[in-house]
Amino acid sequence: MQNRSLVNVIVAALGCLFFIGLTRLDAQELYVYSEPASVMPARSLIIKQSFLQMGGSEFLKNYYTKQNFNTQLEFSIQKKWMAHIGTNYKSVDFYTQYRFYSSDALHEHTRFAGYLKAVASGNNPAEQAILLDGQQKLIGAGIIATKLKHKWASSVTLGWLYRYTGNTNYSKNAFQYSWSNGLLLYPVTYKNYKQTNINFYVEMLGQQSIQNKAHFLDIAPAVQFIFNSQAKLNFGYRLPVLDNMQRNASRSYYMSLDYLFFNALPRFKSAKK
Amino acid sequence: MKSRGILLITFFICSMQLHAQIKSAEIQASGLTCSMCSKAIYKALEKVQFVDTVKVNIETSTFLLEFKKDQKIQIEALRDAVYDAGFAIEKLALLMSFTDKVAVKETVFENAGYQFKWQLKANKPLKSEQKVFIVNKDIQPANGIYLLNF
Repeated sequence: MQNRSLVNVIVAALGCLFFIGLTRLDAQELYVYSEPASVMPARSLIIKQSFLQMGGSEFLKNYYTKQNFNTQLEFSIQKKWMAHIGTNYKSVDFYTQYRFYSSDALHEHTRFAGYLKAVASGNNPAEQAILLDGQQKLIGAGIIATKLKHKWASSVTLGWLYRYTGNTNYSKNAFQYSWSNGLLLYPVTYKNYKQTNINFYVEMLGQQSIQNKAHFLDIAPAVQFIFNSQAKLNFGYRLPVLDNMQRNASRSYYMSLDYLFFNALPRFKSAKK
Repeated sequence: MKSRGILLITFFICSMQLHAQIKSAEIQASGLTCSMCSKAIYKALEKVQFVDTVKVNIETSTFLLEFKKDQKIQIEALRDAVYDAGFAIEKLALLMSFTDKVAVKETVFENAGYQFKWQLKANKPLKSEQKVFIVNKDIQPANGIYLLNF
């Protein structure tokens, strides 16, 4: 019952965000918990450090780690294709994304991308949820659709996950989905690249186990500061809206800092559009 | 021998003029709102060899480009810079110098080493320095020809 009223509040809040986005503010798609269908600029490089503080469950005291530090190197392979390589110092994760459709107009775009994700990890926490932050050995794939229209942007991700480790009673396959929305709060008018940008995001992040019929749907509000149009500082908090999955940590704080280096990589012959 | 010298000088002057025939460009990029995206385009355009300065209006996603003197302007390099940053081109305008006084519709002509064709409904008087727009979809020349109007 409590969950249902929370869902209503969230749906109303997202509706308000859309309305504000449509009428006044610029939308943003540099999401904190998910990737938009857009990829990085060609020849650019990002160094990212993130910190995840997990909590919110009685299982936590037995959990192998309460924190997750992840260092990522994100780079452009060509203008439509990027890759991330990261580590939490116990595992290695790899992510690659290809933008296969792009339709741009002034202050407007529609984009689709496909992604592959793989994590090589020696850890094996026994829990129903498939953990994406380097805690489990897994592969995943999916598609992302992102729409930016005038002052409004939204992104949907649909994916599949398969884990190699974990308790055998738990499902090894899961659907993963997310719905992300963002708003630029500051500046109201752009004057130069040095202005600090403040973005507000609300993301819905869900997972559905295929064999166990268990699921969770989390809401993750986040604030983002962009400095000099090159460095991003993100703060997020994630909490469950609907949850019948056994999870060691259903709530978490997230913080990350990344820096984008333009034209950092050599020019490769890329396919002409 | 003398005529060959004159020919060489004429050729030299002509080729100097050729380089000077596109004075500047204005690009309006599409598909973006944020300053980080805009900066990606800015940095890519700044990196183009013959580009001297880039001035930007982030709100309108418009980039004003001044070119280095006596360098061959490559329209493809400007287009690719924007596409490589992950965006598209809404408008690409060139400031070109002309000796003709009239733009005759559907006429194919050469300028700055490129083939252009006037895409006009009727003949129009030309200024000696005229701002013209490339109207090809995605700034891709059709059979090697850029279509222009103003």
